[in-house]
Amino acid sequence: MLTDTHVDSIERTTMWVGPMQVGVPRTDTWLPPPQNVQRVSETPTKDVSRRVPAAQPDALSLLTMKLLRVSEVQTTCLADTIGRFHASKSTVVIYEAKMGASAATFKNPLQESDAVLWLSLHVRAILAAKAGEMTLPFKLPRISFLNAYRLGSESLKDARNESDFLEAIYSLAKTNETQHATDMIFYRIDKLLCKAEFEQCDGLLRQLDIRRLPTSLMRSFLTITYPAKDKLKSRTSLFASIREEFIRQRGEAKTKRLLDGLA
Amino acid sequence: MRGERFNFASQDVDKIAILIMRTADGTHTGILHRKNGTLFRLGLAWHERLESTPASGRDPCVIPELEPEEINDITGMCRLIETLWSESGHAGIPYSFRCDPTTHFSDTGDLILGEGLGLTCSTFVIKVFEKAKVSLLNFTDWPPRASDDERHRQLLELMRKTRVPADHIAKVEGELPCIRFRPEETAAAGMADSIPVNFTTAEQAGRWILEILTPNNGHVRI
Repeated sequence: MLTDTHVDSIERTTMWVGPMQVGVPRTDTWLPPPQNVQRVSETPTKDVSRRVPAAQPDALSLLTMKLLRVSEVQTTCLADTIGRFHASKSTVVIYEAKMGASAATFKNPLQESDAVLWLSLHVRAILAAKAGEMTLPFKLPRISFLNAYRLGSESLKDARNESDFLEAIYSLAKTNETQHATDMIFYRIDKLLCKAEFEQCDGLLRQLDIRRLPTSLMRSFLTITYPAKDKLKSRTSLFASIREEFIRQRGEAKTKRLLDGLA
Repeated sequence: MRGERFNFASQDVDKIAILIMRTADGTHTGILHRKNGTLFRLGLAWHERLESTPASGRDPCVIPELEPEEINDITGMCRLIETLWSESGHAGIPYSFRCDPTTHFSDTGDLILGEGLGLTCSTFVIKVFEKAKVSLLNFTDWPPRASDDERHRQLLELMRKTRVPADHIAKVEGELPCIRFRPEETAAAGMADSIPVNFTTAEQAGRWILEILTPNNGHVRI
């Protein structure tokens, strides 16, 4: 639950100007401000918090959906972000902040701070909306289904079906975001195998359209499912298809090196 | 062996490299991998002390010649291990000398000890690569070495000094003597024309690395 204490700590924000504008919430547990930016001013610790009663993430989601006109998936992610602030343990928050950095695809050296900004922006957006400020004090970064995955939203991941997941992978593959796609594959399958959901994992492999994947991601599917190969019926035929595609794209010798241990 | 794959600094590492450095009394290895543009250092620093920190860019390392698909899987595994490590509240990997074939990173990125007791910095690197089906060393011809027994004794002493639980130390000691894959030999595998490398090749290349590494390349913090 979002309490006034949390709101206060979030609102104690210092603005910095560097390669990009970043906001670093100042609590004892936050990361220190980045060194290569110049501090220009402090935002006043306004009484926004006093106007915001404690609220459940669900209520916030509904309100945010209405005011910001974002989809259900997006608001789930926002609510989830708030939820992560509730934990307020430094390690958890900083870790999630790191996950957020990849979500926002910041490409400057201030990755950890940027991630904190990314999260704090969402919290502040909701606070502003809740407080009835129709004009948000900043532009809300777009949160897509893919970004929600990157953020590590557990409930969201569980809620989506295989085809949504695969579409997300194809989309990342198309834009050459192989690293993100690999993380999604490893993380998703990791969770399925951890829960012994072999049938669901098998369904995923069955639906996989390798024509829409680069060879790196094809191999990632084989690598992460290798230890459970005996429990995944579709994997054998998938391996054969991938092998064929590898031979076509990479030649016999490379295919042997890359796939022989994964049969 | 390709000496040009050894680098005195890591700032030019594109995607992945094997860290190799001298410590106060030995050597240390780990994996350097790039995540969202930032170079990270992942390794087992000591008993239940996995390190995953941004790299300084000054770490000596070997950049292995791997296929893009292999690099993608190894770096993906590094990120998964780091993620699980963070999610678990930084649960530790035990430190132990004997490299047991049943010890492995599972399909879920967790370390399954099997019949082993843990890993060293060197076997940690070996196992992460193995998880992506990239074998660095050919274990079959690795001989026992007297100098390794001595090193194991030193490290046991260090385990006692750093208050590693006595029952764990007793178990680790019970497995001695055992084969040791030296950090510099694991790193040296990255300089080979083809992997896995055998003992003779790795040992020679490992000595070459030690000769050119100065003692001032940092410490494993214990």
